[in-house]
Amino acid sequence: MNSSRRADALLADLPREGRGRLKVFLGAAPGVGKTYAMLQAAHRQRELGVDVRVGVVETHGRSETAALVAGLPQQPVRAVPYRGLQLAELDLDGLLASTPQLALVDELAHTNAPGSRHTKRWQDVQELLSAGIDVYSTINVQHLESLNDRIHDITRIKVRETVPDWVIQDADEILLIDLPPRELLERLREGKVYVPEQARAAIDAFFSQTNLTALRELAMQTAAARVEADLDKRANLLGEPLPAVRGRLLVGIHGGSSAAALVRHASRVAERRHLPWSAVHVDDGRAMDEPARVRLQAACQLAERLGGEVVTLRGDPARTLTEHAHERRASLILIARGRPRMWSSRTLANRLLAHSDGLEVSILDVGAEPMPRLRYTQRSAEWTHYVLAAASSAGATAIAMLLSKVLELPNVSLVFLSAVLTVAVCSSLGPALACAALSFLAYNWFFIEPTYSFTINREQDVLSLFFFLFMATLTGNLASRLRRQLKSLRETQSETVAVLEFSRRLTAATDKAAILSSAKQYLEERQPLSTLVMTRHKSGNWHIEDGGDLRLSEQDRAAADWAWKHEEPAGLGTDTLPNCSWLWIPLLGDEGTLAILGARGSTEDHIPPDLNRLLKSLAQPLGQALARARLAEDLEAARLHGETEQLRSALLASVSHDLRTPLTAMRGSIDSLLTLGNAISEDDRTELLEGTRNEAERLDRYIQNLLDMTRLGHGGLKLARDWAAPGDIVSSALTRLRSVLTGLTVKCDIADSVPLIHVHAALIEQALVNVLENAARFSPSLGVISINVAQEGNELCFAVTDQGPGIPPQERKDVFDMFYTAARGDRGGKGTGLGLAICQGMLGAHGGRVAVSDGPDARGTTISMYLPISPQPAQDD
Amino acid sequence: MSHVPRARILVVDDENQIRKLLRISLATQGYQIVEAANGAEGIAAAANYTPDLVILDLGLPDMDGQDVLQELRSWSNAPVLMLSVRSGEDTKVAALDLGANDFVTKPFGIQELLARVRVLLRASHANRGADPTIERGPLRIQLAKRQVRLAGEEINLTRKEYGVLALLAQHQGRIVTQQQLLRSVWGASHAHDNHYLRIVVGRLRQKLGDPPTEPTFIKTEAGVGYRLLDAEP
Repeated sequence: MNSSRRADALLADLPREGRGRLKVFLGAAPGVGKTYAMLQAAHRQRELGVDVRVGVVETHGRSETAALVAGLPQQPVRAVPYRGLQLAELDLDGLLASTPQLALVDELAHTNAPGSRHTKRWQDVQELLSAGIDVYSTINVQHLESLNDRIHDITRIKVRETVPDWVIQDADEILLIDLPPRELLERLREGKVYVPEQARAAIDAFFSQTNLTALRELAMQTAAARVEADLDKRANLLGEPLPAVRGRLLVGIHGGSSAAALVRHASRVAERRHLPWSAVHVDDGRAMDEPARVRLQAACQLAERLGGEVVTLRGDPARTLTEHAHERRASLILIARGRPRMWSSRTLANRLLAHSDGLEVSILDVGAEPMPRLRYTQRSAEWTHYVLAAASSAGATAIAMLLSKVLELPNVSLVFLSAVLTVAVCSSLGPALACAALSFLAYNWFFIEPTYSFTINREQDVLSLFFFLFMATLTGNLASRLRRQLKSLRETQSETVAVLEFSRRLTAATDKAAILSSAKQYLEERQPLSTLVMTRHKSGNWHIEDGGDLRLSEQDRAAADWAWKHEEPAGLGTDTLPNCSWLWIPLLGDEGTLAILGARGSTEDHIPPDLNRLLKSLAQPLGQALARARLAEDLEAARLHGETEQLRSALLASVSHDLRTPLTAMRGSIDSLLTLGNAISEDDRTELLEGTRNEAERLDRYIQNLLDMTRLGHGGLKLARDWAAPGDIVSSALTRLRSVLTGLTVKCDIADSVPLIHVHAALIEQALVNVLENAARFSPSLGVISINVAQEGNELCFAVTDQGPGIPPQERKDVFDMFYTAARGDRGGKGTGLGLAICQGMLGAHGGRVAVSDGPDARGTTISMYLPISPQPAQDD
Repeated sequence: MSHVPRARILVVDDENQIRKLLRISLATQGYQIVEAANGAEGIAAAANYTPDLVILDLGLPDMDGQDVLQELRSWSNAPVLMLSVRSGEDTKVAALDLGANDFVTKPFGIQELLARVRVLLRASHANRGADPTIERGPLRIQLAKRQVRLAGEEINLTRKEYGVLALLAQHQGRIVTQQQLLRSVWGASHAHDNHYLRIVVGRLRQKLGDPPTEPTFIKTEAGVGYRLLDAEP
């Protein structure tokens, strides 16, 4: 065993190869000079040629410290805006990227600003260490998690920023920076200790002579415990057992009703003896019923709350406990008495004592435990089975009596055999054996000569009787085993059916949202569960997929993070962070975790194991479905991206063409007028000026179109609907196009009876302007444009007909494509080609549509804009 | 067509080019021009020069045009003509409700602007209310008798139709917002029932024989209100 522990010690050292070394500067209180000492040490390293880099150091405005920092290369801190403040946080990635040999990270217990990768700075430090970077850091003793309660007792201050003990225990070196309280108080008075103004009162209370003395002692104890640990490690390497210098208390807990009391007692003993303590649960592989599991969980939570460490181990309780005690250099093991079956205290205690060389074992009498209720119900079930067994043998006897007249005696035993088989199939092995025994007796009593006695005269009867007993036992055993297998097979099958049904439902869902909602529905309608699906952003923030708002506790979040990272379930009912209120199951695709499924009982705070198993088996099809949806999304995104690129280039082409054309005309005309002014005849001058004005108006329309298109394209279009008279819309469109329509005849036909429409009038007007402008562009000179507004069924139709060349049927659907004319380049005539596309967008936004057809008599083109007619508003008189 | 000579007009706009355009065009009509490049200057100039008309751009660099308007309205009754960009119906309505008298949409035609200026100047000088009869081309409205005649023929109007027409006629040539019409004709509780107006105006146009697409009497200012058009000059 020693050799294996030695190997363990060596192995424990192995991963440190390639991992950075952590040196912690430990102090009893702020102001003892940790940071200063750290910086000095860093300077010494630097003189030795080590590549040192300052990750983050709080100088708190002290000039000596600042001077030391200034002498070292620094990683700029990351500014994080938070509630209007600029927080300076460690730039972890920057530091990782610059790969120094030694990084200085002040204040190990610091809590990072929200949105940072890790919630705590010590986690950042762990990452630096994993990357092979040595780290110097500082911590005050009150930030140690295990000391949290004691610090509170001493100082009446609840320290919220804590660091798990193992971080310090795993540190390669700890340096205690000691300053007698008197001197520290001196420094405080001289203002050499940084004190935030808002906390001054609390801090003053904190820095009392008694507090400081107690804290100093704690710091020294911590450092001393560390010395022991080093000693221990060395002893392991040397293969020598070492007497416990200070020791540790282990309390063995289980699911008994005394678990909580035991934990409380352990915490008191540990406190009295100034020992660190662990609550150890040894899983001996036996099944635990639900109440026991819940009690165990509660006890573990309690232990953590009381400052104990919680350890779950597997194996034989006594052996595992003592082994663990040796590993952890524990001096005292505490167990409860009165557990009838599993850790029978007497035997466990005995065996513990047998294994424990030099260990103190305490057995606590916390009162007899009531039998778990579940067992009674099981008993009662079995009891009815025994009744069945008795009844079956009685029945078999009766039938055998009847049949004995026709059957030969040896064959009568078959009747009894049938009874045994029946019982075996209906219940379990115990009743079947009971039935076999009863049948054996009845057979003997009633049928074997001499009847009505247990005596047997003939040898062959003895033989057949015992053969019967043997057969009955064997078949009963087989039948009951078969039944058990069948039962478990059924369970598995029902699970398989569930998975199949689940997969079938998922297949029907096409996108992520549908998949998630059908999964949620499936789970919650069958099981008393509430579920959610979360995904994690790169920043480490969780996003709940179905949009719910949920506040997760720190622990739940940590469990979720773990599950995400390790691709294994964590949280409630698992081995990792089991004290969470949620069970997290990662949903895996080909490239890692896609999302995680969270579940918790909707009525109870635990999840039954079979449900747990079912959830895990459902996670696989769900993960696959999500992967499929993701793939589809990626493809769609790629396609959209391609289209957007195409649109962008078409837009650029059309903008440069369409905006420049009017500008060219305007500039040319104005230049001519300026330079040639008097040489131009009056008529020509007017013509040039009118042309300029028209081009300016055209430019204005194009710009309006571009604006509209951006609004349509970015979903920023909000419909401000109001009742509008179709005539008013036509009228404003005509007003805006007055100059375009010069030389053309516009015929309007609006029935008096046309209803009001409930639309965003400016948008419909723009659509109509675009259609009319198009019509004007293709009209022959002196042509006629007719506008016809009429109700057609449930729709109002604005039909605009020109006398132009018409649009060939095969091109009709293309004219609504953005940039259709633009795509034809400079030959496409005037216009961005946005016109009709925008028209369609505007109508579409109103639930309407646009159609192209031949004009009457197959001449020209009719563009019809259809808008749904809403129920008319009430009239007032 | 009698315009008041040497009427003083204050132009408040931050765009130099627009001010120049307005100065040149308005000067040709014989108006006296005062310019201001921002809201504060505008308010100061309005106090110093007591203009007969203010042309106010709603988008100013230092303060919101509406605030300028509000400030102005607290001590001045000079008519205000706003300049605003298209698709800003809400701001137009808000400004009109704050006491602006009319608006012109940028980019604007200078003819339109000059016409609006004429209407506003005339209205502020005319002694309204003294003359209970309003004539506009063939249309003759006798407010005292609540009688409307078109080319001498009396037209039967419902109470609401008459109310709308009379209010528009009293502000002839200037815009009246939907809110103003609804409040004064239907009452404050119907201030947002725009469809009443649409229906009544539609019927008014029918009775006046006014084609809805090219109205000669009642012009719709989309999203803002209506105006009774001046006779073509």
